Amino acid sequence: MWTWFHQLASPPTFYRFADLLTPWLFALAVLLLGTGVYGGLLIAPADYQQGDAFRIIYVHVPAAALSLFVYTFMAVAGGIALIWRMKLAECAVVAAAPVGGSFTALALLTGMLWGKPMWGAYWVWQDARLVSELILLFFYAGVIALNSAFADARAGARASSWLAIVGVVNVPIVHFSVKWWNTLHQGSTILKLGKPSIAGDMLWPLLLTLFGFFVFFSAVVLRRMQNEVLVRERNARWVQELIAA
Amino acid sequence: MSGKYAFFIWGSYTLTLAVFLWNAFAPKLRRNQLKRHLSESAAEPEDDE
Repeated sequence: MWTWFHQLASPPTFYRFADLLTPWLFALAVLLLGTGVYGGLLIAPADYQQGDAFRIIYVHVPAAALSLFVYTFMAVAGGIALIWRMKLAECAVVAAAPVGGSFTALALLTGMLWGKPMWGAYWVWQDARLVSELILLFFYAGVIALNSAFADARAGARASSWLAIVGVVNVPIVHFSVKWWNTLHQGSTILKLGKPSIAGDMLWPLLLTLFGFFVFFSAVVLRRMQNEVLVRERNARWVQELIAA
Repeated sequence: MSGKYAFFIWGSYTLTLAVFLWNAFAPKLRRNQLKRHLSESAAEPEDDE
């Protein structure tokens, strides 16, 4: 097992492994998302209070969950990159940032589109969840900007890793903001102790889209990591052979 | 889907589709660009500045 992990850390082995895995991940993501969205839009009953507007949950909650997960993933990868100087971990930080940033923006935008008909406003500055999620988006933007500010890819990735580690403090703030402060946001629906506070007919499409978003992220981050590997290893013989092929 | 909330629901799903398409195709475009750039620089003689 450990030997396999060590082999996987080698850029050419990783590149070939990612090439094999990503088409299956994309296919699985399409299947999960297609079924989940179909269930969410056409099978799940309308909510007794929110009507059909609640169907935004099937894209908003997975995007928000992914925004928190991706930042945590970047902080862990950043820690590995700084401690063990592992090239693939550096690639992971750099590759995950635009994906996480796009899903954070999506969570904010779909939240605004859900907030307007339910709360009567697109944005409420007093809501700790909204503001802390916006700060998360700024952290993502910071990581991307910091990485681009360096001519040397490894120096940029290391600086980005530090910011990923510093910014991870915001992740529990986003998650627990609905408990720590009085907000317009409802509390956790799935990630809480005890039974989820959502009916089964509404829950299964949510679980499918949630899982689909995560599988999609895995596929995209592998593709982006492959690109980062190509940039860093451009002088290696295996990259020259790959380009020539 | 109720007309009352249609804009908000379809707006959310359209934005989601846009984010998914961007995430799916941006790495592919970047890879093509990289491969082209790398093959061009491999074809050029080394610059010893």
